[in-house]
Amino acid sequence: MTELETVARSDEDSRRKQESIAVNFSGRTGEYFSIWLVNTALTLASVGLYMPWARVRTRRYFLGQIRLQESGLDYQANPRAMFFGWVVIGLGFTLLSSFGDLLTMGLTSVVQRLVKGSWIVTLLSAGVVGVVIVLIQLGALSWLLVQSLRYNSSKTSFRNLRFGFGSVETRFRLWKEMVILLVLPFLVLISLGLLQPYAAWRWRRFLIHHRRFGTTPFTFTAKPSDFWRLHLQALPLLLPAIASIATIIATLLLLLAKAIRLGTLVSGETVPWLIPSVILTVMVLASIPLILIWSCWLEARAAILTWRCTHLGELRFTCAWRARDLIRLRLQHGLALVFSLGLAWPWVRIRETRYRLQRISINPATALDGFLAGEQERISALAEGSFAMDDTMAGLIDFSL
Amino acid sequence: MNRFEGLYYDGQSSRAIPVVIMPLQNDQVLLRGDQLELCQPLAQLRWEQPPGRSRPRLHWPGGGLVEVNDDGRLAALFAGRPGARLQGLLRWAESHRAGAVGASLLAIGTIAAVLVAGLPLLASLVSAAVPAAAERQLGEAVLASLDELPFAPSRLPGAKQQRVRNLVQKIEATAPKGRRLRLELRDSPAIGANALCLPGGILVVTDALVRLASEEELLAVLAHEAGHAHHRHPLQMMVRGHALALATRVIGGHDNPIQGITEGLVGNAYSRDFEHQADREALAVLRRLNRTPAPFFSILDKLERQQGKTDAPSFLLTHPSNRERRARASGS
Repeated sequence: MTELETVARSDEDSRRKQESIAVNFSGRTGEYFSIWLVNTALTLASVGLYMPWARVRTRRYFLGQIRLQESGLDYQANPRAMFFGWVVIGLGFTLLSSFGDLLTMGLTSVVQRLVKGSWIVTLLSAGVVGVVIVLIQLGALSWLLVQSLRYNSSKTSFRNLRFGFGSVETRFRLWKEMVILLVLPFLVLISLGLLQPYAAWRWRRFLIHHRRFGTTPFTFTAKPSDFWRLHLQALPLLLPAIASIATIIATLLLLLAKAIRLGTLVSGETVPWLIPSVILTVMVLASIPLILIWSCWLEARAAILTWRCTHLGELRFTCAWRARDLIRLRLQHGLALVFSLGLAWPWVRIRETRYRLQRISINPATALDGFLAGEQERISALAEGSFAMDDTMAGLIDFSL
Repeated sequence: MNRFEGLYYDGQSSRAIPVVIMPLQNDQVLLRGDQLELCQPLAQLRWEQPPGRSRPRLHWPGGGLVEVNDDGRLAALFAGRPGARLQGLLRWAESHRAGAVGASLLAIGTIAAVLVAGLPLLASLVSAAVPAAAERQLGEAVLASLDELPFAPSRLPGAKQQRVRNLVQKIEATAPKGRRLRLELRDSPAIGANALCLPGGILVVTDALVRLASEEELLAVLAHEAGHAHHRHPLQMMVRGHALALATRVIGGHDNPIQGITEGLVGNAYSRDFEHQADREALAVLRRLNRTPAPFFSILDKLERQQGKTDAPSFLLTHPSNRERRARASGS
């Protein structure tokens, strides 16, 4: 081999290395519609008993249509195990909630007998029991969600190599993290939405960071500040909405204060609008499309950021979602669902999935070959069936949110 | 010899190895690829066809897997395996128009069977299991809640009230086993001329109805309400309503917009059914008392005139139109 050839060859190699391949989604509406129809019919005719089988079949179909080069993903969950899990969990939660009611009643009657006539003590003890029951439910739900994620990941494979989520050693840490993630929405609410970027970051980190393909872990390098910046950039789009809501609340408060001062509301009295109603109406009308743009822009940018900061070994991901495409899809699909009375659902789902997946590409293609299998772990299917996180977004993609 | 191309994944790494698969004469299958040659008895291999157009998969013992480009000849080798027929049937239904039509018919048929036969049967079984005392208690509770808002005590003179009571006794006497009825007279401008049947055989009649109807007509109305009581319609309607709500949620999911509409329409159909049944019962009672059915229809007309005739199609109404009631009652 001459020197020239060697150079040309290594050039060829490095070019091939740079090559990125797009994820391909080959699902078809007609095909999915048939699968959906048969699933629905069998689920109905079996009084719901067929549901786990239908779920596995749907998921297998969707994952099987996700293709990287020649190979598709696969899902090998056991519907029978899922079915039993479903029954056990259903019974468990029913028992827990009725047991909680009984416990509350029993305890309050005991307390009532001990501290006669003091309704505050009774109320307090009922409150304490209620909080304890909620905490038990929160703990159980978190555990189930983690187990469900672990089960689904371990049943998802690409090129006969399985994904995984956490491990036996880390499952308690995952559980604690899940408890925090489930409490986060309340904190976001209390903070009037200010904690939302942090919550978004934390969910993504949880879903990506603990996942692995074979023995190779996924890593997530984004920081909370990246998400803060994103939300800050999008904020101007929300200003009219925030201003209108603030105006309306302030006006109502003023009205209330006036009513309290006068003792009653005088009918026919003009409402003291802080802002002339014409301007307010314009603001409210303007905020509806702006909120749509805001949510789609944020969704697209967050996805781009998330995929850019997600690594799997040498593999890098690129996401090219565009806000305007998401807006178009959302409008089209919303209208289609309303006018078809929900029958357009298979069409919507296929189109949505296709757009979301086909705009993700991976790089370099050569890295796809280099992953190795680790030891198989056995995870109970108990949690699956009742708590599937998300049908379409399973396996490789469920963090593309 | 048959040759099939495919990709082999060994389960140890994510490498895809192009291979050729050859079924041999002695029931062995040979797999050959780059630096790779495996041979296994056919019986040790597992064949799998994922849904959709995905390529079939051949599972090798030890965790290997081949995605095969098959033209059907390889699949035929595994046709006799347990579960293969069921999988084949499912696949056929998913890929043929006849399968889709069949599935739709099965789905619609199941829903129809549940709504037309299943829920009513369930409701009558459940109502039969409810003790009469419990039903009466339920009725008392409903009456108490109605007394709080739309109802006031009757303002009819005592003699008139007694005459209505006598009519109820007449009807009770015709019933074979003598199920107890209880009459409650109430004044309610909000409801107007009307009569209701509550669980446990409690009949509520408004003052306005007593003033509007002649004695013969009042007897017919009371016979109709007694018909509701006789068949325990109020209790059955409650059970059917709850079962229906549960069924629509199971079928349609929690936040399906069609669910409320379905519940309304099916609930109306059940209600109209009950009205027809009570009509038949009323006419039977009138026959037993040697009365003509004419007052029954005349009071229906009077009530319709008072409430204003509606042009709404019957599926939107809880009560059938007078024309329909007349036709159904005279037909029976």
